[in-house]
Amino acid sequence: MDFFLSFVAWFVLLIASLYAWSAYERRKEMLPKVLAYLSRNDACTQQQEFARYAFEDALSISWPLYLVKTSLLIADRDPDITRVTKQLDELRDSNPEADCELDEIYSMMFRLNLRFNFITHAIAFLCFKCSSRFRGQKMQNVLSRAYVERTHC
Amino acid sequence: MFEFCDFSVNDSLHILMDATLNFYERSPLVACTGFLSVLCSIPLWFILNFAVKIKNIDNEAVRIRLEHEFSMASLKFHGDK
Repeated sequence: MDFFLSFVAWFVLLIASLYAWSAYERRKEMLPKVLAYLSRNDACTQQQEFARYAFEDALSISWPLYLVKTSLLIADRDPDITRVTKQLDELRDSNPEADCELDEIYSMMFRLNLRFNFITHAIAFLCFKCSSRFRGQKMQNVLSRAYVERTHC
Repeated sequence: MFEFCDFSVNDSLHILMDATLNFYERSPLVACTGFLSVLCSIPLWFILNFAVKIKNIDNEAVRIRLEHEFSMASLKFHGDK
């Protein structure tokens, strides 16, 4: 029991240090990228807002659970969500260059969030796998879309 | 003042320390939690303060930049008109 509790304490310290490291790396790598994205002329206001929310959610703990929630809404084909997905497809077709850079920001956000928040990601993955709504469906690009649609819910 | 006592303060402290050590030996869970909380509280406080302050400053910077961009876009729009 002693050994187990000491392991828990070191684990808590390790996660806190990982959080601090990801915050530092967010400032060093992600902040100049996001500021450069905000000053672009190609990107419309919606995409700039998505970049801002991605920057804020890189360090949020409960974010993967919202991701799973929105993916469940997409699987249910909620009318609001389908409307937003159509809008996003139009955006993606209208200016693809800005969208590629936005995808880079999203991938960086995932990398920073997985570093310290892997426990919540595992819980969200289990929720995603155990839900019976996805049994017979073919899921493509749901998780990557779900983040963007969370901002509208 | 304490003339009714047969033992001194030193003896009473000795008895108390022995009792606590016996309690910790019998219940290591309580002892571990206390010791580790004392051990980890100060570095945790420093690390999390650092991270949270950096996070809030960066979020504010991005928010202000976005508002500035929006205001500049509206100014451009009105200027074109």
